[in-house]
Amino acid sequence: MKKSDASTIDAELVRRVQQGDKGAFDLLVRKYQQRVGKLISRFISDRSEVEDVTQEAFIKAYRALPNFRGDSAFYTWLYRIATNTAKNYLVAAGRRPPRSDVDITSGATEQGFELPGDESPEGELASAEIQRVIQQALEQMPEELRLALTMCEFDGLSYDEIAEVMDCPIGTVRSRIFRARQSLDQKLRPLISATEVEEAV
Amino acid sequence: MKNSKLEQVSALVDDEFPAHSGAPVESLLKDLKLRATWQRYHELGDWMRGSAGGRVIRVDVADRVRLALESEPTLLFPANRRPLVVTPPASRRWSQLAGMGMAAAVASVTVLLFQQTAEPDSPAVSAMAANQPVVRSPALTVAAAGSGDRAEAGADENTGQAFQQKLDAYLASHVRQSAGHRPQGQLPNATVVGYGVTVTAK
Repeated sequence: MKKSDASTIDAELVRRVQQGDKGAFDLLVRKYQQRVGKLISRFISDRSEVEDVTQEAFIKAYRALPNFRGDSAFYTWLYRIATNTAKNYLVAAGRRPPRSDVDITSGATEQGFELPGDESPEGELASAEIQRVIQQALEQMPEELRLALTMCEFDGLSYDEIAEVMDCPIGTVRSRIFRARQSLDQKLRPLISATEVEEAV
Repeated sequence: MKNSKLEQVSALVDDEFPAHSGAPVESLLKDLKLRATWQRYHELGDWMRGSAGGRVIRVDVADRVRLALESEPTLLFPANRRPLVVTPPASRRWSQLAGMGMAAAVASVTVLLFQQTAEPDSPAVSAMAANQPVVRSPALTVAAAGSGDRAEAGADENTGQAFQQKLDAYLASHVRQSAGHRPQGQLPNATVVGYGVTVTAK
């Protein structure tokens, strides 16, 4: 399972925000904005509206943080705020929110259908291109780097578990995952920057 | 940028740093480039998982949220609130034991003070106490009757009498003190209102 559901770094960042450190909240936003955006995109199809509602959800979360007691994982708590923000947005806009909630880990609702997402031609194209580059980069990567990264990202294994599977020290696992990320990052960065410029225009 | 710093960020992304090790977090908070790396590494994971799920959407609201929060008041968590870290059960047990120990200590001090502050008895209280049944420890009774040791039984008897005298003295002192200081009857000019009954004290 993915470790981030009970993240110690999240708890540390939340503690810092609660003590007045706004910079720590910025790290939480940077970490979760994609997931929150993706979640909200299942309620709202328009891309600019998705960004607005995502921003609103994070601001609501910041204001509610004094009441967050750590009884649940931070993301679970944030997920509830994001879901309610999206539903309230639809109600305020005179649109009907979906009758069932979206599953926290997948795009499926309880009835098993998907809500509309970023399905504009530009969005589709950019997504397809990024997916193609990721796939290609993973295929070209040395096997030990690819294995370490995919076990971490897809299977959610801890470094300890990966070290056991790959029969190598934990420091090697850390280094392999980092090198794999660096390689992917270098190939994706021009593409993401280009997307950002297009969106800005 | 040093690779060791970036490798630390990569490990932080995977939550593979001990919680008490604050140094990498401090670096992240101070360095804008490290923050951007932190964001991109998370985004990479999201893209990878997103592509596996068949749908991706890119959202970047970090700067907008940061700007919006500049006008928000800074959160200051009250010091008396429950901390985020849950207390382990073992620590809770120790705190319960400490509480019980404290209560036992207070009870012991109360008994000792009572024994030391006892005064000679008064006839009125002695008479009152004489009507009360004397409570004796069953162990004491068994020891006195079972062993046949008269001297020991006599000593127990003396101890019981001494205790009775101290108790009488305490009760007498209590009666004198409470008679002298407590308010007599209702408070002056107080009005007590009940259901359907009003009593005014003069």
